Amino acid sequence: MSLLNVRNLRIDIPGPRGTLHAVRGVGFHVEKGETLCIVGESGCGKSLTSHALLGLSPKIAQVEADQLSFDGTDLRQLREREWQSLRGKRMSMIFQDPMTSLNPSFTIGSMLEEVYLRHHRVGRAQARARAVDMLKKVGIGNAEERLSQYPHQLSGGLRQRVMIAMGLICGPDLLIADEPTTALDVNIQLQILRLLQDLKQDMGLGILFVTHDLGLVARFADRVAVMYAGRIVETAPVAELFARPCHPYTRALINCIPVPGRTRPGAPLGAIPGVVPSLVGTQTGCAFRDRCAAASPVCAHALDRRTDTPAHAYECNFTPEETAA
Amino acid sequence: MAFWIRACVSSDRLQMKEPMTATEIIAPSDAPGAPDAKTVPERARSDTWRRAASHPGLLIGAALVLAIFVMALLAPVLAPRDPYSQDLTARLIPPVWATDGSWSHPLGTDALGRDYLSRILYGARISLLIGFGATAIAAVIGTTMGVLAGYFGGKADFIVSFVVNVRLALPAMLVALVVVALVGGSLTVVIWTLGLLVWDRFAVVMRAATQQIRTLDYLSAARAAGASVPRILLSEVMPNVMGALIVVATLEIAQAILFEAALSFLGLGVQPPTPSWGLMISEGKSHMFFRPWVIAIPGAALFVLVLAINLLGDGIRDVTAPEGRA
Amino acid sequence: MTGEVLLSAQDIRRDFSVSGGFGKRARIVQAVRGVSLHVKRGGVLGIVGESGCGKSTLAKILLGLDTPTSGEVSLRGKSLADMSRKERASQIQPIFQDPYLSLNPRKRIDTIIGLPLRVAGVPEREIRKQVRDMMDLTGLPTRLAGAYPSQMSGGQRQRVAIARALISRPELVVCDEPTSALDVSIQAQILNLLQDLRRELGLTYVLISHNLAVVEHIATDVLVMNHGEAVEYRPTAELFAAPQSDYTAMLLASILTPEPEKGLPDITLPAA
Repeated sequence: MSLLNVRNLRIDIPGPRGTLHAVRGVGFHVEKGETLCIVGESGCGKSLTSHALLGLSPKIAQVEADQLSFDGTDLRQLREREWQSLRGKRMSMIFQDPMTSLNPSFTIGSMLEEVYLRHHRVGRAQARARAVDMLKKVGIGNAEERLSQYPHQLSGGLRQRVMIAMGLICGPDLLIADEPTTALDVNIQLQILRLLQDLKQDMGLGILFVTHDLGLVARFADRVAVMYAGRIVETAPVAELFARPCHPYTRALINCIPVPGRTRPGAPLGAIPGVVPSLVGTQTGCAFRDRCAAASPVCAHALDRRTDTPAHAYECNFTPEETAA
Repeated sequence: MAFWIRACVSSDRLQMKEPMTATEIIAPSDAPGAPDAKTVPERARSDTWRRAASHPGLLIGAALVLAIFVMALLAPVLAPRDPYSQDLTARLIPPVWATDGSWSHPLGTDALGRDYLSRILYGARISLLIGFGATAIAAVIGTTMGVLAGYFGGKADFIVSFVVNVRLALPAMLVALVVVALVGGSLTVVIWTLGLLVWDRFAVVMRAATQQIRTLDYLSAARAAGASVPRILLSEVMPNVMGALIVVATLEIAQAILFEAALSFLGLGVQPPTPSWGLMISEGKSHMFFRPWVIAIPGAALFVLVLAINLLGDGIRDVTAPEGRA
Repeated sequence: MTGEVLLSAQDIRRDFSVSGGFGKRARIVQAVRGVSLHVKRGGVLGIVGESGCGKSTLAKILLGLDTPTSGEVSLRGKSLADMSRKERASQIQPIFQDPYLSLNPRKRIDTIIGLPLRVAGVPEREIRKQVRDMMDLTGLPTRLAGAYPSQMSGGQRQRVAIARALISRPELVVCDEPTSALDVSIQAQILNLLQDLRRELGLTYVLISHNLAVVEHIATDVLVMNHGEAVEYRPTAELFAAPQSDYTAMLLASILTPEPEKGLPDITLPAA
């Protein structure tokens, strides 16, 4: 049984100009000790998807799914109290902006201890020891000193690491991370990624990592789901995805980034023409067709779901050989 | 009071910082569907209008303020009688809805037999003139100080903060009383006295608003384009702090109107026989137990005007939401 | 065309005094500690480093928006300190990181783009014509002239910022993280545009970035900064082929290229 199972997740947001169908039938699963990266550009629905998994959708959003289960628990049926006992303990989330999850009027130590005590029947001292331990794990050297500091006394990178420590202090089974390292310097980013990788290997932590950074995905993911306009357009084990990207969008995205030693300096990068289609109203056929060089009239109404290998699926009316031509 | 405004301006900002607003997560950096040809500027405007149209407070406030404005403007046409002409045979006639009221004086008359409706209509002119006049003076003083302090920071900020603190330490009402008592009450004196006293909120709010944008890159871009400081302040900073300015201005107008009423009530504001609502209340106070309407009517007028202005101000703030649109 | 030095900076230092709070003495923070550089006409100097290394302070100094504590920046041998506001503006222009913050939300696009010309006193008719030309050149549909920044996408906004920077035909453009707030596909569009414009208009760039892949792609020379100092300053190809300092080597090793077989780089990291 998978740790996290999502089938046909739909998120609609009613607005003045019609309902925005932000997520249009997304399905994936995360296993124990596995990292699934959802990669996509802003507005593709990746953040909404990750927030919905923890019941943190904006109030006006309507979330529906055929299946939304975590370790056998049906998340669709949970009440707020049940959510609270699940969140932070067995599933936790870390965000891009640490200031939204750190309370400015509490010390780092009291926040970390609070999270731990909420879910564990232990004494203050024990919680404190755990907090120190966690801060050290995320690479904060003088952990004891930091406990008595307030969020505003820390640099952005440190705050981010404190938040990650908060997410991990209860030893969750599943970590949902929404671009947690985007604002960090490269070496701090690496340190965090390594920590997550160790936890994954040692404790069987399942990780759902949302990002726009293809380089990070390549180095960190076990499996990848590429999102575009509210759908997962391609999903594959990481090596297969980069060795043989099947969806034209995935291919275009990979060609967009300069790679030292691979792309010729100064040469034009592969850009994707046009803009993301509007997500208001229903969509027929392929959402990428207006920006796709290989699109044909059939793409306006049909969309084929193909598999390249059993674990490698993509939504396109053509094979990679046909679209690459 | 200044703190209250600061709190309400900053709570607007806090709303933006909530972790998850729908627009934040869904807003694609490349917007879905590039804006169409003509619809672009119109769409924003129509958005504002639509929000305005569905904001009851704003609509009620605007309608009332407009109505009072029109009444004040057309007072010579609307007023049934001369507001100054006395008729000692028709003293203290009750309004038309009372048992012995009559349509010849719809709102009755005062102790000197002057038509109350006409005096209320002309009184609106005084209230509005003082409200807007004093606020305009205060806005110029306070905004100049606040924007300079916020933009330059450092010494300028120190000096302005000091001056604001000195001003806040002065009991405005007492100072106004003393000044008016020394110089003598008149419309001009009241407007200037109030204008020179109530700029503190403008200074505080404009300073905070300017501080929030002073490090933003569009100001750096203007500096890099060679723009002069006055140009940057007037053309780049001012449009972005206008929202806060309007909100403070509406509150101050209401405040100044009440201030004038209080001064006039104490006999140190506008002098008789000028029809001022505060003065009318003052003149009616000896009759208030047996003829309550002599103070209830100007009191109600004052209440409605101040409420309307406050509703309008709150509504404008909600609808334009200057920060939210950035 | 090449060979002539356009921009040079000699031993730039910038100290900030940070007040230590009530009753405490102010501290001096040395943001930039003696950096020298020179950029040849038509070249691209990449300045890289981690956050807080002083690269953005240096950018502000090169733009003339901040004055160095000591040292001198000169353009074609003339010191920035001796230039008038307008003279400097006509030759050096910025492109900032976040196009959501670098465009005045209350101004229409044509007003924003035309600002440098308006400041320079160009007649309004001429400004209108040049704004249209500039919008064409940067790939902005002219129908957007009346739009406000909030109605545009991130990529379009950054094009507006580029159009504004280039309308007064400056020689030097200082780009401070021009693509780090953008999506990858948009980043590619903007990088391509910057490259095209450089060739077409004979521009010289200073590119400040934390993204080494972007710097490698665009820059002819690279200056690596750490703690306000220049750690390494060499032609791009040489620096990427054989970094001389450990710090540069660490930065290069931590680039995450889309090569899954390599996994997370294994480098020793300095303690926080």
